[in-house]
Amino acid sequence: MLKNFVPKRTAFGLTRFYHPNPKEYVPQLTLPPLLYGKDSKQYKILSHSLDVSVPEFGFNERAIVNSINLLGYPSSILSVIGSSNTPSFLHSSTALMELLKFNLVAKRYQLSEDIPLDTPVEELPSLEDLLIKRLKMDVPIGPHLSQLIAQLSIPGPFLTDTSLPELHRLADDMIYFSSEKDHPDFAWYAKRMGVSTAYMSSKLFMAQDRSPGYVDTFEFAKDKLKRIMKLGDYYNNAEEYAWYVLMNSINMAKSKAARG
Amino acid sequence: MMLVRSRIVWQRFVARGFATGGAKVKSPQLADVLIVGGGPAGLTLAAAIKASPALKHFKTVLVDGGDIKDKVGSFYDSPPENYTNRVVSLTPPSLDFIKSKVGINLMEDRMMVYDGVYVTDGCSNGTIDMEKDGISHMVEILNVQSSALKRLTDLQLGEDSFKLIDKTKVASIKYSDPNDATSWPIVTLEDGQAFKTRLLVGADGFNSPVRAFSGIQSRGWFYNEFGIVATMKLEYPPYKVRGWQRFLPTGPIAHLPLPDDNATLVWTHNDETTKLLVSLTPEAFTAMVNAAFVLDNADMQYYYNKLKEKSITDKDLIEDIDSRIQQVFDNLENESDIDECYPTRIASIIGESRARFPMKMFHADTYCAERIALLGDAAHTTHPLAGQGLNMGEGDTEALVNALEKATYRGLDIGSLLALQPFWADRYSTNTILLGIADKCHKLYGTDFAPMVGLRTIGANFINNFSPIKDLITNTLGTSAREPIAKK
Amino acid sequence: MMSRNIVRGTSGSIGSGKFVVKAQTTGVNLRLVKSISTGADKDEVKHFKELAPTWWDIKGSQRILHLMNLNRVDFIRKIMAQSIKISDPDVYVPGFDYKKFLPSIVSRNVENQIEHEINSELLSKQMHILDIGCGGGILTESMARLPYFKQVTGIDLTPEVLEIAKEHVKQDPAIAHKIKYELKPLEEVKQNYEVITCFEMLEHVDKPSEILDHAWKLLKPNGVLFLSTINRDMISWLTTIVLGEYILKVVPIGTHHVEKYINSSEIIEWFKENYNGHFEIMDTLGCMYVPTKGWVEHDRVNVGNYMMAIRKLK
Repeated sequence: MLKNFVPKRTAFGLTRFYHPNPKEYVPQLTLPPLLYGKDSKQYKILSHSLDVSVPEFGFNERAIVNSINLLGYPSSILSVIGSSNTPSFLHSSTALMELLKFNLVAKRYQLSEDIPLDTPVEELPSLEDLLIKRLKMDVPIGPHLSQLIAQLSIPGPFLTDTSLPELHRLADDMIYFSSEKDHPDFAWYAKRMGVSTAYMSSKLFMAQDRSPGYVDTFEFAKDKLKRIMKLGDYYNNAEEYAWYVLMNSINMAKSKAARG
Repeated sequence: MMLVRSRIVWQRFVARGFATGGAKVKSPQLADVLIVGGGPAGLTLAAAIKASPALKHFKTVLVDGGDIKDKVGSFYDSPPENYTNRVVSLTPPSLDFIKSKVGINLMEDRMMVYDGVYVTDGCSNGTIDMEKDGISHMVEILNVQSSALKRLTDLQLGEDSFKLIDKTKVASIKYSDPNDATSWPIVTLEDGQAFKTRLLVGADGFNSPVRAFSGIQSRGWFYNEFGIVATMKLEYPPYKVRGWQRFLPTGPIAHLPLPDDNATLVWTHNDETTKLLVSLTPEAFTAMVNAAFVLDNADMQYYYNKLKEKSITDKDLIEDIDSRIQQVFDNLENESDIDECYPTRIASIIGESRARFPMKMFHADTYCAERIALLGDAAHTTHPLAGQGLNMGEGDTEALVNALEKATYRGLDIGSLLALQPFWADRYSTNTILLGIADKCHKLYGTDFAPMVGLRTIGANFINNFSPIKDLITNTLGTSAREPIAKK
Repeated sequence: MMSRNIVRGTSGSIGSGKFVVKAQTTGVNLRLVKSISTGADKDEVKHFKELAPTWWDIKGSQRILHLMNLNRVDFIRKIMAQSIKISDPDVYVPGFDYKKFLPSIVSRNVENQIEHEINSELLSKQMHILDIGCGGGILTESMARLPYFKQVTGIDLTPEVLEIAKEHVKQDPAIAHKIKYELKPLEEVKQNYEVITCFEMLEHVDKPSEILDHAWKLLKPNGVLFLSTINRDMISWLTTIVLGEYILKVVPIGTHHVEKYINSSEIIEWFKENYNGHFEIMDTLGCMYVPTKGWVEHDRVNVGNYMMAIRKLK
């Protein structure tokens, strides 16, 4: 049991101490920031609603109630589902808030669940693959995406406490579990910001995409990511160049001084 | 002589100190100058030292991991008929140094002088036509190496004056006194020989073990591009002998003349495409090279894609390219423009001369440390697009020889930093300028972003018509940023 | 024995330039190292002792000294070449500035031939040198590397510095046998030498005239005495003490004292007084340290640092 507490150094990067993936050192009981694990009733209900009810009814309480009824749970469980959220007049119900949260978190974990921790860097999926994979996860709820995004982005505590952090964690996960080289410097923030931008803009595009199978969205996402990565390259090159010029000038001055 | 006797006494003293060393390692022999690397810069340096009246009494040892005595040695007397694919451009100051100061007789019949460089932009019609008689010579690297080696063998030096050790790599380098960075470094070779040397010269290329030992940092970047070199046979010898360079957004392609109807190619592209190009049949590759000088990037991309998918046969490819080239030529106003603006068509590629190597730009912080000097590619690497790589190396060699001569006249220990620093002070700014030129050109022409293309076309055409600037650029490239040679 | 000494002006008379002849008996030869008439005073010895570990550090506080050494050796070589009279009648020695009038190929040939002759004449001489106040041996080692100097003896009074010099010479097998270091004052030197050098030393002793006298006596006929020191004027005080010691700190504080500086004209006067007709000033050269250029040579020999070469006629 003790050995499970030692954080394993993953093969493809530094162990993340800022928000580690629990599977790295502890057998998963809950999926933070959710307060329940995979075998809990809440998980069952919410995943069922995401798969079955939401595509039909959209993101509202009716979808959750539908799932509760279909699964045979008492309807009072609705209040349990929404119990961790403070009621807000900006959102319709706490249970719905929980559903939105669940949507983000569960799909984020799904992204990395089949990547073993000891995969060498070369065999990891590329960033593009992971981005497309995450977008594909939203295909079943495609028609209701605008609703989802609208709900997620209402200014308020939910945005700042749940939506945005989840977005950042998603971007971080995507970079961490892909074969991208990680830079422990200012580029760290810039890269995650870039991936978040690519993801969100693709999501927005997907919300109004009517092409069959959302092929246009995926093209858009790939292109967007490529452009952002290129921008990153330009930045890197510029920084490298500036640093080089600085060192060069210093060396030039030293070489002139060495004459005397 | 007393000198020899004391040296032996010294050797025994040192040997006793290292008695606890590995059993296979023999006790270090003393040397004054140990040059690691038998490339053109290293061999020229050895020849220069032995030819200089002030320096020739220094015991010199040259070590190289490749085959110098046979492969390079035989080149001078029995050169192959075809030209090798590693060809460099040597400007008049470098040639002057090699021929006059060091006394090397290059194989003149395998060198080609050319009278200018015609630079075009692959995305527009921006052109710079740098015309200057005898701006530079194209010389094979083996030519330089073997001529330098011949000079050394002609001097008929005994083993205690000059020793050439080839096919042996350097196993380790360490200071004879680990606590004293001014003590003589001991270089141990793979076969157990060890040399304790007054001055260690690293002319051993980009991954220089000498530079690693000295702790001198090298700064720069990899271009993530590869260069393909090949020797080509033209359809007919060119009327105007000049160098051609076309800047495609994916990388420059250069066609440089060799004697008669030969030419050499340097084509830069990314990893994937260079692998593809090197794997093509010679006929297909020839057609692609012809296309790269005439057609625009969109056509080239089309061909790359087709070839990648293997959905086009060689015959179709060649026909298609020919017809498109013909279209471009038909659209020219003046028929004589064909010879003026485009290089002579290539008839074939010689044998297996295609090779590719990575492109990078690196510059070391300093060229000398106590008892260590860096020369040539160990100190700086550049993109071949400006043709300055070996010129910088030869310039370094000349500066180092001058610094050592001056130091000897002043009674300095040639390995001391005081003796070596003038060499660094002389060359650092010149090399920075040349490296900067090559790098900036590469950056400028490495994009097809429309405003950038527009700006650079305007700039190029302006320079082309405004001779003071054009002459300045031509002279800088033609003299490798050194003082013009005084007419003697 | 009476001997005329150079007496430095008192501190109130910097720039006075005139020296006062004073009759004084020569100092008694004492066996004690520290209190010898031709020796340095206790402070100087101690000061140099502190400098000992950094003496050979090219980037350290002694860098200026190393740079000055380059000019010294250039000067020595030039004078040695000048001191040779070409005896071979086949070698053409033009009596005019041939470089201006002859075509370059011809003038180069003439130059090469002359140089060759001079070099072979010098090489045949194989001279013995004495370096007074050799310090860490910077100049001693440089001179030992010149092929026509057979044996170089260096003397100094600071034992620590001499130890450093001995240690350093061991590093280079090519000259180790050509150099001898001795911890003794000038009076105890008995041998005669073809060349005696006394660089940057006269401004550190109390009685420089004694040094000159002894050195002159040890010089063989036609031998050359090299010396360098600093003029006692405002510019020297500014450059060597204010700029050098206090502002730029390129030289440790306390290295130089203005009262001990000697003017080049005073040296010439001394020679005229004592050895008139037996000496020839071969050349005098002024030099000044310019931070990114090193030591720059100039011909204002009355200002700043200077070097002098004096030949002993028969």
